[in-house]
Amino acid sequence: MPTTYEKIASYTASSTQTEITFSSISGAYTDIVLVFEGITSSSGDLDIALRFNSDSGNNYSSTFIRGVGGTANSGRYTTQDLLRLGVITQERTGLRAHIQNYSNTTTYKPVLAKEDSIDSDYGNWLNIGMWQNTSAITSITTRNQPGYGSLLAGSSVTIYGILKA
Amino acid sequence: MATAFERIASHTVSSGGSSLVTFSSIPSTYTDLMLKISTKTSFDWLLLEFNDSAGTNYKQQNFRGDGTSVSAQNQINQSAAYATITGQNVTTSVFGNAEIYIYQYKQTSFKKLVGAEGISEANQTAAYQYLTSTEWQVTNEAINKIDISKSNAGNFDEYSTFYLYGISNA
Repeated sequence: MPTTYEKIASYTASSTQTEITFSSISGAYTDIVLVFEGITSSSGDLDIALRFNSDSGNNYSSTFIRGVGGTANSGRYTTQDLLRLGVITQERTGLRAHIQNYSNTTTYKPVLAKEDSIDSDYGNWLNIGMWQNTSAITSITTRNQPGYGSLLAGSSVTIYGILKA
Repeated sequence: MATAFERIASHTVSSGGSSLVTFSSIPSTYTDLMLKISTKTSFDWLLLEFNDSAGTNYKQQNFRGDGTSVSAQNQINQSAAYATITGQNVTTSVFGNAEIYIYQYKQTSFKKLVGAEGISEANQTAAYQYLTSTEWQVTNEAINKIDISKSNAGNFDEYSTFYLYGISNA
């Protein structure tokens, strides 16, 4: 039986850092699932964000709903230079992002993501985002908002490919 | 290429129902675990307990919608992971569904994080969706056993299903 869910690449930080990039991503899959698990330095919480194909233009937008402590709310980011998907804190934080139809060259690329956190200031985030570009995604950078903390050693990112037939 | 997503074990509740489902001797050959659960029972919290750890070792954030309003809650010092919700046995053939992701379950140097999404649909005014995050605040044990139960008395009904998958980044 052909496999339908394969690891493409994985990286575990051996030291403090702010950015992890997977490049030369094959177009052989239909969708990509990105899984992050990690924690920040004591210097502060940081936005966790994705950047595709090193595009630093203001081509990203996202909408979130979230539960924070005892409050539920929603917000939206537009004309961003990163796809902002939540906040990594000094509590361990997880992110599962589904990047659908990532290799097509006719549509903008949607991302559906859930951030898992028990931090009382941030909590659960459910995000829908968009990279406003029709290019196939060939590289994915997981990074924080510049100037806000770092990922500690042991933080990890893995991308999986989901195969078509 | 080897698949990164494999079934480890499954359980289907038989006639008469069951109040507890256990997956034990979970191998440490994967990176993360995923549970996919379909249940029918009296509406309730679906609880996870790792390695028989029933102390106040679980901390949680939840976020829910009931068809009318949304709310959120922070819970600490819980004796189990209130991971998500069960289905409701108010409508024939309607089961609730949940997906639970357990990050880095075999690590022995940090706490284990669990993310879950669950829905409890029924043909009535109120139906529920829960998004939760839970932390098992034990650092030095890999998860090798998961007990799944509900917070109040009663059984999971016949045909409720529980699937445990391993996800590997090796």
